[in-house]
Amino acid sequence: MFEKLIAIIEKEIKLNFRYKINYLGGSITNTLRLTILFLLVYFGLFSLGFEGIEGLNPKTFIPFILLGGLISSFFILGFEVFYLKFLSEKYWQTFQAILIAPINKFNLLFGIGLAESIRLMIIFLSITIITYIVIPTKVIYIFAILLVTLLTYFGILGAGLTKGMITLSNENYIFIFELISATWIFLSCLYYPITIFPKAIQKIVLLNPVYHSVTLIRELWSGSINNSLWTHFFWVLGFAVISPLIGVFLFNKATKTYGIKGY
Amino acid sequence: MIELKEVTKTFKIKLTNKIWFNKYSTIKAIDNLSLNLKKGQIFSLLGPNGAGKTTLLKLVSGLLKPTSGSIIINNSTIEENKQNIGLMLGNSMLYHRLTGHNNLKFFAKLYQVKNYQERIKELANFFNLTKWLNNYVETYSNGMMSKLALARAIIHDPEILLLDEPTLGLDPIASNYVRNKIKELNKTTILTTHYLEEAKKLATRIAILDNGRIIEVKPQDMNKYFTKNV
Repeated sequence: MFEKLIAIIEKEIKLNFRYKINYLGGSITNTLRLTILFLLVYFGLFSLGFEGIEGLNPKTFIPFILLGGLISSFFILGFEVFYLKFLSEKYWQTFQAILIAPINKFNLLFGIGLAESIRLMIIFLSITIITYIVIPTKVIYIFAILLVTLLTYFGILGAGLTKGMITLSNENYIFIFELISATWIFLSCLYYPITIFPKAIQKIVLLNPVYHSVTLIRELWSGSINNSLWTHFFWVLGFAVISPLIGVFLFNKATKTYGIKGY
Repeated sequence: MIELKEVTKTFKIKLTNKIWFNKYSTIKAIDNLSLNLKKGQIFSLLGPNGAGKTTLLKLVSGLLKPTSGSIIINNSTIEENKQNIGLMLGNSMLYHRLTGHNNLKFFAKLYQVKNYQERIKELANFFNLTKWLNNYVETYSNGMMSKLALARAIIHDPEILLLDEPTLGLDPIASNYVRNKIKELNKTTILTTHYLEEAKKLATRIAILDNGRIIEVKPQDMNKYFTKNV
């Protein structure tokens, strides 16, 4: 049943590991870039004498930023993975060989997505270990956070597949997905609290499953177990189920209608 | 077995060489083509560059959709015959960053080939690739890549083989080797080539494709046709 899925995972891991030092070494560069920047900004503000910034204080801001960095890394990886793979495979014409094979596109989505597990685990472990050193939490919560981040990743894979689809059928419009991802990250409150936004924008943020995901893992880490956790969780779960369905639907439709162009 | 009914495929082409506001025109890569290919026949398509040979193979494999007309394989759609089709586009469709073995293994699993290790061994012997199978494809010569590309296309033992210039760029010995292997496979094949000798050696039916239109020529009349028309 999972033979094709495993075949894709295996092939992707082997391709990733062709230049393994670069692949593994590059795992946390995206995470570091924004996380360090925001840590420095908050650190600077607290050094200047600020006692609290929108609910954050000198003790809580580090896990806040690090956990935001965790979701941010999973977001970028999930959103970009198909675009990067499909661009190469289109020119190698291996993607054409895959398209004419009898394969369900969910295998493609989860196969390519799960092949990044090694990178995801490097990111997850690096961030949780550092966060644990700063503010420890229960191990069970860390497992719950792992589940939430993976569900979020599956949801983002659906959106990433849509970007991959554009890469195959019309490279002219990739920039639209760059704008979408930038806006999406901006409205996910990964590095700042939701209260910095005006009320109207806050309403939009509340419709963003990635915001619910990052809020959920922050609440889990701090141990503030309350009913709102379930609301956040259902947003994340719905996203993990619906987004891949939409992604695969659009992918099938576009490849059948427009085919592969530009190789 | 393969039936094309009044198939037309058009493409949009740029007439001007500007960055913005170009003029476009449509060309018919395949023009109202009808063809009926029976089981076991090797149909060779000759034609100049840009005649529409590769387009035809992409249409039959399902990579492209016809603008009009229909393609029927074994009395059903291409979608239902994916397991029965093997496509080779030159020596591409290979992962250069994987070994030959891993390329074959991946596609064998996609097509759910039973005893795939045995099948890989069998194909490696058939194409004389055993020694090179654990090397990255990026280190292969063109001839070896062509052999591997053909092995990849037939890994699932398809009924129909679509071969696009399988011997392009190969030296005479490698070309001959690949041609003999194609002949030995004994499958229903559509083969595109630039080489008249290759068509004559392999094909049971030969046609010339030019400007999207097809002219079928009897193999014994090939020389006469070319003396008259080329």
